[in-house]
Amino acid sequence: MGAKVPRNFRLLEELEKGEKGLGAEACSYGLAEGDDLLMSNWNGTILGPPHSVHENRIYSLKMHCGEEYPDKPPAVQFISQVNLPCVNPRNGVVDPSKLPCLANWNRDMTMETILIELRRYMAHPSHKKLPQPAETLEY
Amino acid sequence: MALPKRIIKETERLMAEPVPGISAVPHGDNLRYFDVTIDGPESSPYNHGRYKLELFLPDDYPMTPPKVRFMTKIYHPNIDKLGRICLDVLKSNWSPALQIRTILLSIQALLGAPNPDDPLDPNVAKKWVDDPDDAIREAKVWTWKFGMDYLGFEERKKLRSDFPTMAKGDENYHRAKISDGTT
Repeated sequence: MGAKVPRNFRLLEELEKGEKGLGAEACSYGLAEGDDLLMSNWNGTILGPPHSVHENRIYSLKMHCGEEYPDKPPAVQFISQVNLPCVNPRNGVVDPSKLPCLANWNRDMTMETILIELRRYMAHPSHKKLPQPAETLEY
Repeated sequence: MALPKRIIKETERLMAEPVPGISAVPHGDNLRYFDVTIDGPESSPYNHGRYKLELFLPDDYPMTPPKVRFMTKIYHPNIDKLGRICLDVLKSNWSPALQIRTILLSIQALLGAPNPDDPLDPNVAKKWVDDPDDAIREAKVWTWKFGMDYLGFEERKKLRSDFPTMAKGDENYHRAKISDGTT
């Protein structure tokens, strides 16, 4: 086991990776406010996976990293309306018990892990044909 | 993983022979993670400010430099809005012969000698070049606003006259500037 990277340095690493676009092409993320020294609030986007109802859609969401991040996962909430079993249809909050990476979170996972997994979740055979709200709607 | 001897030695020496104006205390649950304070140098606009920083020694320290960040807001051309520091010894000029102690001294020296030619915050750096008097004034306003929490009310009050009252963009800024005698 290596050195335990503290929250803020871990978030700076994720920020740099997000800014440089080194991550997965179909997902992006960054700080909601560029001068937030606590680095708590983040925005993310997911480009809907091909061969699904989500194709060519861009979903925005917000993530909140609390003081215990990355020992605890961030709270994740869709801004764009989406119809998925793991998302509360009233407010867009992702139910952590229904998304495996949040349910089985460990500190090696990142916000990018979550975005990629959500995108895979959208492409899942049982989710890729679910009827979706109009594209511009937000919670 | 056991803590390398090098880190134990450095920590012991930081405790036994602290550097004046600098403190570094490891977290009880992570001995590679330090709470740091650095006092602003006397002849700088950061004088009387005490800045909080955090420092982390990565796995491959001392082959790679420590990671350091300001946690107190500061107006400085080489420090960005998230407290990241642009300093050669933290990047390409790092050498394993350097230590936590020398790095913190270099950061303190950077407060006394801002380097707008190698900026991290381009807006602050531009101000530093175009209108250095105004930049220094702004830096003092930030010191007063964010860097002096460690002082009691009375101590702060005594120092009030050393600091300009308004930041750029505040109402009555230009009037305040004239009454400070900074124009």
